[in-house]
Amino acid sequence: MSCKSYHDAVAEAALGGAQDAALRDHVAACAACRDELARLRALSAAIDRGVEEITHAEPSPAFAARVRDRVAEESAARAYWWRGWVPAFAGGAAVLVLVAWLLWSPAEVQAPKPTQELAGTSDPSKGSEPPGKTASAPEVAPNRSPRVVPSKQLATHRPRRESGSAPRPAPQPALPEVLIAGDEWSQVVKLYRLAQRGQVQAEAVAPPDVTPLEAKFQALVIAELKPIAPLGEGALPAGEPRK
Amino acid sequence: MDAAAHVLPESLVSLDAALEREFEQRLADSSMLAVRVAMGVLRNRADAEDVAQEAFVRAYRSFAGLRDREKFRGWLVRIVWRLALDRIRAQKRRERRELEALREPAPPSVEDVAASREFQRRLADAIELLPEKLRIVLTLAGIEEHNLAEVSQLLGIPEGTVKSRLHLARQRLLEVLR
Repeated sequence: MSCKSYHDAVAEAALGGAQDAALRDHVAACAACRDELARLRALSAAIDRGVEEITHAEPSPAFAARVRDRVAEESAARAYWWRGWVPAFAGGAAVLVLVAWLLWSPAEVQAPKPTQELAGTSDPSKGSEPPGKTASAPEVAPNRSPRVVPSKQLATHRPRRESGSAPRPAPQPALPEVLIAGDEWSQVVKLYRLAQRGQVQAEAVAPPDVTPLEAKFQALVIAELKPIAPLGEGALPAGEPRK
Repeated sequence: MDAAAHVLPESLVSLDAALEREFEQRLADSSMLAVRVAMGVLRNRADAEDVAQEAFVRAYRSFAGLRDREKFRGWLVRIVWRLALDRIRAQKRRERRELEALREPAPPSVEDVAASREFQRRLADAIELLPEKLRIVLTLAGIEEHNLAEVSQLLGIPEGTVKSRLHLARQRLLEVLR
């Protein structure tokens, strides 16, 4: 066999691979291949040394300290990022909440105005009737989103305007015009439903200064009020339509 | 304040402190490995240290989330390797641009002329031509003094695979340099 046919086998042997008998015999007899094998073994060793040399490096004494510094810098930068953005986010959120509140509750920032057809309006700041004295009707803002009514607020009503007073344009629905105490709620609702079904004459249960009441009963819409404290027995569950 | 409110923050603080201590230990144990892996790619000590530092910073960011911390060294090796490759590619792009701008290659330095330097340069070039799978095995074998079990553990591949890849890498280098 010619030397060329041992080309790969010589390289394999130089890398530490096994030499078969044929290669051993050829190398023993062929000076050129013997030299080539020796050269490649030296080259193989040089490659191994060279790879080790290329990768040989000791970290400098300051290496760990520099890593710690960079980690600390990064932590500080993150903290700064948060310090900068958290107040910005909080401020933005506050503005959004304010805007949303103004958009959704424009009526609540205005003073409640009496309506022409809902004669029995109330103004909590102008006094209230004692508990137990049922208001003329549970007049509440119609078709409004649920409102929280403090349960300790007492049933109040504003006396009906005199019939001779100048008519005003009907205002937008405002705050509940009659606030009903928790322990009176169920009774007022019951009364209202009876009146709607015509089972109760409004005049029979109305205070003497509030007449006539038929129109008032028909105009009423009971909004879904969600009291903070539990309502009295018989309270309507939230979500139930109360028309 | 209730009892839980006292216990929780303290346990969190102690967890952070334990993580910090553990990271510090890993930093001490693996600095040399990181620098050497980077050297295997970059062949420049300053660049290698820089890349190794960057790798540690990245490792620090995700250290708490590392499920099996026993595999930290292998994880770090992969980070260093990728960063080093990225850097050398960027360097080569920059060098190419500079060479194109000069339109004339820089003259060889005195050191380049020396035989050993010339061999190292040729070897480094030949290593760079190797596929990445062979190259990382060869580099780690050089770093770990041909401890194939260690290389196998670092790369998470079987020892037999390490052995065959190393052999193939050396074979190719021999062919290129013979």
